[in-house]
Amino acid sequence: MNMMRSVVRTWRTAHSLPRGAAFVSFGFVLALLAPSALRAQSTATNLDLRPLLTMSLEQLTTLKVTSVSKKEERLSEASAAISVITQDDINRSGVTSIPDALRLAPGVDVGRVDAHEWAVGVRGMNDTFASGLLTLIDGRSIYTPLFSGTFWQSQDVLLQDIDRIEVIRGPGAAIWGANAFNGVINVVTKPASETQGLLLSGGGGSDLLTSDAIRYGGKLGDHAAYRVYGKYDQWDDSRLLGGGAADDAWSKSQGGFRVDWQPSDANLLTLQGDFYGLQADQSLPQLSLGPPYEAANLGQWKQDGGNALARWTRSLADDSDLTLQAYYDGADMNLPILRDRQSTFDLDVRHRFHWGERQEIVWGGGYRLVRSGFESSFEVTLRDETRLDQIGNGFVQDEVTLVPDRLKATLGVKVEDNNITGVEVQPGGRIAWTPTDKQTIWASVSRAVRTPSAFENDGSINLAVIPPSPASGPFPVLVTFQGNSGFRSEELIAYELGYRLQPHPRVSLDATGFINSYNGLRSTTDRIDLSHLFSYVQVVSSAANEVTGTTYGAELSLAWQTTDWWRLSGAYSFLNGELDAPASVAVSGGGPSLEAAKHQFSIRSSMDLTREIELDLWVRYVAGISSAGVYIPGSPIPPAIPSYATLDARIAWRPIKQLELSIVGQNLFDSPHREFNPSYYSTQATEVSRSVFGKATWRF
Amino acid sequence: MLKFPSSRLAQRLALVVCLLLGVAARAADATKPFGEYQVKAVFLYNFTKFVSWPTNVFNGANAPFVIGVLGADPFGPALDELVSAQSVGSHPISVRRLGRDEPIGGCQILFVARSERERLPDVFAAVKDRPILTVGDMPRFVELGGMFNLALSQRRVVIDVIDNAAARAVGLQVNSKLLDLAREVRNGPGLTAPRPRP
Repeated sequence: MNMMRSVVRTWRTAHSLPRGAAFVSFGFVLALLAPSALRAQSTATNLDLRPLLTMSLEQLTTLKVTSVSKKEERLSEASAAISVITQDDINRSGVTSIPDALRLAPGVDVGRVDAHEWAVGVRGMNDTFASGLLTLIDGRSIYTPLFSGTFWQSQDVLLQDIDRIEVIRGPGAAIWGANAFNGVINVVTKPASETQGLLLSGGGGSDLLTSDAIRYGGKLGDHAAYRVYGKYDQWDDSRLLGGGAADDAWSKSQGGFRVDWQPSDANLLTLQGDFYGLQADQSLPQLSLGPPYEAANLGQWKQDGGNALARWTRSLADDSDLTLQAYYDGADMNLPILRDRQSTFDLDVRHRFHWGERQEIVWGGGYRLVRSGFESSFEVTLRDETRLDQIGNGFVQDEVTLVPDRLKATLGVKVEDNNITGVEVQPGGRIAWTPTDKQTIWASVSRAVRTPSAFENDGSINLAVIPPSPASGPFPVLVTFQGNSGFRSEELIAYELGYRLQPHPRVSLDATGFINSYNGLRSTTDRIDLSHLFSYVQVVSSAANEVTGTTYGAELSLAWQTTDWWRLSGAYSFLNGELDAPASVAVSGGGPSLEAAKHQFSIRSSMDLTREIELDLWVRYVAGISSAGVYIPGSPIPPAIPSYATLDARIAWRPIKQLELSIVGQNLFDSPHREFNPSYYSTQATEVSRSVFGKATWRF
Repeated sequence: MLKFPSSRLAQRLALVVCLLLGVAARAADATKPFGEYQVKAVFLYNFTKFVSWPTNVFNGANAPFVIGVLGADPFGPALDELVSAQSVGSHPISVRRLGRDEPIGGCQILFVARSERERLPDVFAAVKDRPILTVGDMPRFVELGGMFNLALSQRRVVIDVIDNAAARAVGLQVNSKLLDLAREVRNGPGLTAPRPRP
């Protein structure tokens, strides 16, 4: 309750405007539900259970029960391109970050930009910023509306607390919302009851110098469980393109908690929060209109922040449930070229119920408020430095069972209203046919939008200053990216088809094909501004929506439990397409590119050599990318990225039940390789090279 | 300048949705059905009646029939309450919670909680060749070595899969009534028999 009060206090003092309306309605719903929840028995057993003892088996299987567990839809019946990365996958593959874990799913493009930055996208159009991917941790969005991207270095959890990562390729179900453009990544952590006892973990290696964590979980009475954790990670400089150490070392401390309270069988309340502080070395561009025009400045990127989330799921009679969720997420980012303080408040309500024997309806709505305070510099400017962005939404989805256990159709729509582009409507339909218990064929059509980031709407970024030269003229040329209020949402209509098959109890196959039709993708229109002639010439690249095109591709994945102690899994993804801009628009950088590899292939072998020893091998191949990252005129970094192959290996040994020792080698094929190009605020391109990492984990 | 007028619509929309949901919640809160784990507890009790164990598992005619719960206990007091006065033949039923470091054993039924999902290979190795009926309620429980898996289907507790071969291999006889109720029965490698769902 104290947490809620301080959230409200912070919110009220933040702005005098009557934003309280949404809070009032949230409080109203709470007031309606709270008495009935509190009235519910404090233990689940005052209810007389004796009738249960006299029921026959058949009667028991017809009883409807209350449950707060999420509808665990059999993955094989889902009508979307969804992959689930389990805790076991994360542990056995030896990955040390969430972006690295995402490489386990097909269709996800992950490129390590430098030691603390990753470009993650799905089905192309990858960019550190504007990848059109909705990213969530336990229902909380970790997507930064300022830049349209995700800062994976700051939004992070203790890897051992992850229950699973759901990767949905394609515009997700209509219930996810704007910016679930090319896909949705949802990191789900374990409930507190599954992380009990003390866990100590310590490790270090050549790249990840130190990684230590401590976590403790316990019970609060009979109906609640909690956990608290703390972790510290320190990374070394990575390698510069061409050799030498880059300036991108960083370290981060993070801590947090989670409490799950189930006062009765019908109610589940979850409270969780995290806080972190990180600092990173960053080589930043320093631009000026006089000599030396462009310099690299080694600075510090400091960031700290935290979040708090509360979620209440109430199971109602007649097969329905109601979920209320509220969260706060704040971050203070501090670099020599910009400072940003951001707070997000979000409220969501969702109701799921059955209508008749054949329909399941989910509907609800939400409200999000993002408050930012920005400090500009010559290099990076936001015209309106104090922003208040708001999004309200309502959605409804109806799943109709046309033929029981065989044919299901789903129709949904989400309507959002945001203060930049107004109303956005995102409808979608899907159908799933399960001809036998072992096969599912599904198809879907959906429309999705990516709304402009604060920078695309209102910011300007000075990308380069080209010094005077015989070729460019007697005055320096300032190249600027200019956002403007005319920049609209990007639009996607996605057509997908999928097939899942379990030909044998130990083998499962999943294939997906898609065609993405894009409209209004970001382009820039250049014009020359001579108003400062005799000082400098400015080339202004204004954001516009002139790129259209179609991409298409397929993803295949296979899992084969060869023997009881050996599991093989493989994935292949293919992407191709054409993006065009009209001839009248000058598109800088040589034309729009897919910004992702055409082919990606991965195969992983997981072996339990003995009861104490595990061996995992993982080979990946990523084809070349013709142009990756923001094009900066005059930059020596080649836009094209060559193909590469990697091998990761992990050996783990458990000498006693409580202790696990492991050694992980990554990128063992010894060729340092570049995976992506840096964004405008970094002057260094880096390579990923061979590394080794050892860890000991002790559980009590 | 930022436009606010359309966001007032957003606020009103959100307010209306919240009000409607509040009313819906209140109205629907009528009779109280049983909880998921109260019903799963009764299933465990029924398994004692529809599965037979070899006679030599008991130390004496009046030795207790033990239902063990391994991991984060989801039943609460419901399981104890249900079986408190019940017996299997002459053996009174008792419930035992197994701690993380205890050796697994001393029970006839072992319910493996979801929290033990990553330890399943160790758990099944510990009970291998012993007449212990392993029951779970997590995805792929039987594929990984368990005998009975419970699941929720349209808010009803169902027996999803029974690995009859594994049960028979340790001397347990599963009554055909129970086999008929399961959605899928495995009788041995390559002989899975899914039932048409009603």
